[in-house]
Amino acid sequence: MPESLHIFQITETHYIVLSVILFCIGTAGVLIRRNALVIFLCIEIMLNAVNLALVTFSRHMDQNRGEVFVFFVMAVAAAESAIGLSLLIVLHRQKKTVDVDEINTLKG
Amino acid sequence: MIEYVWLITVLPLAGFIITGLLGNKFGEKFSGIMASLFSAAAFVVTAMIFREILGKDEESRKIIIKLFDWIVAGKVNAAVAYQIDPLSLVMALVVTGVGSLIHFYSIGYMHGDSGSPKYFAYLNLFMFSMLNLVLGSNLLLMFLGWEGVGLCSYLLIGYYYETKVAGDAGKKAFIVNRVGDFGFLIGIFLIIFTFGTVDFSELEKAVAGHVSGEVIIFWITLFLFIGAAGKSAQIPLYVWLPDAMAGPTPVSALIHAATMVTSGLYMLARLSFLYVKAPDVMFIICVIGALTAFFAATIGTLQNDIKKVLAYSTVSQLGYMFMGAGAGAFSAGIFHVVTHAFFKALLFLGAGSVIHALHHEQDIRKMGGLRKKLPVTHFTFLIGTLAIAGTPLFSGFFSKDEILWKVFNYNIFIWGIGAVSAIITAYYMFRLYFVTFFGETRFKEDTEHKIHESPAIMTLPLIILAVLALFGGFLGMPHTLDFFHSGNMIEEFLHKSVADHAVSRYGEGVEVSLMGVSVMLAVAGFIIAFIVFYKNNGIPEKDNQYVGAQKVIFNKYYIDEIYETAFVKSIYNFAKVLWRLIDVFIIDGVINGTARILRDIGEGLRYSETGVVHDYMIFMAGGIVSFAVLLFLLFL
Amino acid sequence: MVVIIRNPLYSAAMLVLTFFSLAGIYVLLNSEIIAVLQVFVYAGAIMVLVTFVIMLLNLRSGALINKPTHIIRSVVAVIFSFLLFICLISIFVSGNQVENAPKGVITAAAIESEGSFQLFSRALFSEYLLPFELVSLLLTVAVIGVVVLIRGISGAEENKQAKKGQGR
Repeated sequence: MPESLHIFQITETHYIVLSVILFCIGTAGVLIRRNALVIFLCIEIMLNAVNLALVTFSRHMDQNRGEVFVFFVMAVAAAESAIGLSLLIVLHRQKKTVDVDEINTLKG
Repeated sequence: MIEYVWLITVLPLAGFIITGLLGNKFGEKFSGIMASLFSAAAFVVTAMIFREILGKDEESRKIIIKLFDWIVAGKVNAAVAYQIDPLSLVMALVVTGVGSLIHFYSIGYMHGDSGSPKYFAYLNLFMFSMLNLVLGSNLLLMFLGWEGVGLCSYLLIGYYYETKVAGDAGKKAFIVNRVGDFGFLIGIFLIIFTFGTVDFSELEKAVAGHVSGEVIIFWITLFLFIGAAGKSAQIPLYVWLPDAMAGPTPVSALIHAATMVTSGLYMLARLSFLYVKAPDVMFIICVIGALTAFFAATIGTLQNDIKKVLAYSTVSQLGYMFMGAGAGAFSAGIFHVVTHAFFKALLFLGAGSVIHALHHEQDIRKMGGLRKKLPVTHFTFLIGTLAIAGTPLFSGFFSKDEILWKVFNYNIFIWGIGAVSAIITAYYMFRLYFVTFFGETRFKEDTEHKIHESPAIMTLPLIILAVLALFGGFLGMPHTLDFFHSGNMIEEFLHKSVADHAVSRYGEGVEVSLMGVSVMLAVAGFIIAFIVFYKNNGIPEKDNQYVGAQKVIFNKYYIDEIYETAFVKSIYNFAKVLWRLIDVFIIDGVINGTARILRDIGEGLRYSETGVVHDYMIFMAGGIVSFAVLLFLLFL
Repeated sequence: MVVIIRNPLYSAAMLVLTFFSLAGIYVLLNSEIIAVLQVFVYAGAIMVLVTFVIMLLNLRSGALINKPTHIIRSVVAVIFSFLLFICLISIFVSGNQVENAPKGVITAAAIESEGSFQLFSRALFSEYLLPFELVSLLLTVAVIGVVVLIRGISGAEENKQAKKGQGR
């Protein structure tokens, strides 16, 4: 189908837009959901959005700096998820719930 | 020694610092001895410089030693520089000499008082200020000393600060002085404006070019005289002096008899070259002086506190000095300053001795018959009384007579007022003498056997002062009585430094007969007092037994009450309004209001601490978003 | 999907799908290594952990119904996200900035010749060696942290039970 070639060229812009969309979705999720685990998942979405942006720029500038940075971001994300999840478990043991609205001991 | 003139002022200053810092540590004996030694050292230096000056001839007796530049502003160049000339030396000798005697006397008088170190420190500070006043070579340095002695007066009057009387008296002295100082300052400003300098030598040259009777000179001299009236207790600014008796008696002797109160007259003498160009003001000064002399003398006749009598006597004698200055006889005024320092200090210290012996009893109605119990005090007090009354051959006679003679030449009516005051002076002084030392003993029984003569450290200064009061008059023998052919030493000594301007209308014969008149006046006063108080034992009883004119006089003509309603109340109310409005409402309101606002903000913000994580995240996100929006708007 | 579905397990599943999609995109961007890492680390390790946790804690969608989410908060959150979206889009899509960025060395041609893996790992172990080591330290710390956290809880429970045993 020769007409489909007229559509558009996928430039870096599109990747960036996708990254931004993902980031905003993640933000909304973090602020809206009450389940702590789901909040964690949304944070992962945001991180991935950033990764995507980094890789895009790295490709665009013909460097591999961005990619290396993404490598480290992933490592950090892994560490953070380990500790975050164990905190979640501890929280559940203490409070019997993972609803963040219930965790208001700091109130006042 | 002349180059070391600064020692005269620095030595008491050092004494002040040492006594002030170390006095409380080392106790009252240390403070007393230190202060007295520094004071005496200053006297020694003054005496040595005096001797050197005596050796010089008349023209070269004025030396100015400059220490350093002090204020250099526009036209005015005031340095810290001391002027050595006959006038300042005479004053300095009196200040350091009599001052040292009083220091030593105080060691005995203040014995046992816990605040003595502070007292001696203030005394030394006073000496420092007063010496700056008399030795300064420009108006600003003099004013520095002027203010300094006012401050020390306040500090020392209010020495017994735990009593309300003393605190009030100190405040009154300082405030009334302030009124005078205000006039003084205006005078200085006018001088700077008119002549462009504050240095005495330059001023003298500048003034020489002006004619007599100029309007600006009238105002300058008038304002300066207001300052002098404040310090030297002339009408209408004398009211602080009687109240100042709340301070320790040696303070009264030093500050309110011998030195500070004479600084007004010193200022007049120092600026005599200016005053002779303002004859109207001179007349005003003369009249005020005479009225003050008369007025205060009348009040003194009915006072029952031994120190108050002497206080009014001081005001009266100061009136004499100003009377003489107003008539143009500046050196006669200074001569009376010197003799008055001798006998008034003597009288005050004697009174102090009496008070000390009677354990701080000051009402003469509770004294009597002290002649036998306090022999030295009694004898020296008698000499002082004779001197102030103007008994021939005593010092007071010569100085007072000189003034009266010059005033007679100037204006007979004013002389008349002065003459009447002389009778009254003799009367009230002898009244004091008789009631205190003669008659039956009227004090409490239990104190009777505790009365003993004061220790030597107190009686020795009394004796020294008595000798001076007795023979000091020979410094200024008038020409008509020139038995020793010494001439009027003091007048000749001061010849170049003050501008004597007295007229000489009458001849020698009148002068001699005038002297006779003075003697008769003094004797008359003595006889009246003798009859009333010695023969008939006419001792005043209670305070409220006076009626009519006597009542008015006893209540000091209600001057204090008049001032209170006319000035004090209105100023006080004004100050109260200012306080309420500005201080409490505006300033406190702003400060408290700020605190209150902050606290309310905090309380309001408290509600944002919900403890819910989501809310915090919302806030965080809000911050980031607002930042992004900002960037967006910037890049738009 | 992740954001909206109530059941956390389904949410997690959606996220896995997302990760795989991203991996595909990375391949399109000529960085296969990132794609592979994405699958390994994110989809493989992290999501497995999440799934374990969900199962362990027995999280169900029904547990959260009793209290509805704050409406205001949700609305505010959506508004913020939308604003963020607009701002970021406008910044990045203003055209010139993206195209005129400085060019580096690793052109498409280079990747053709050597392969992205080689280039990447060469850079990682030469230029970025220090961060690499630090990251390994970081991971160690994370492991220790997890152990401490979990151990602390179970240690306390063991003590509690021991005391109860003695009290009886």
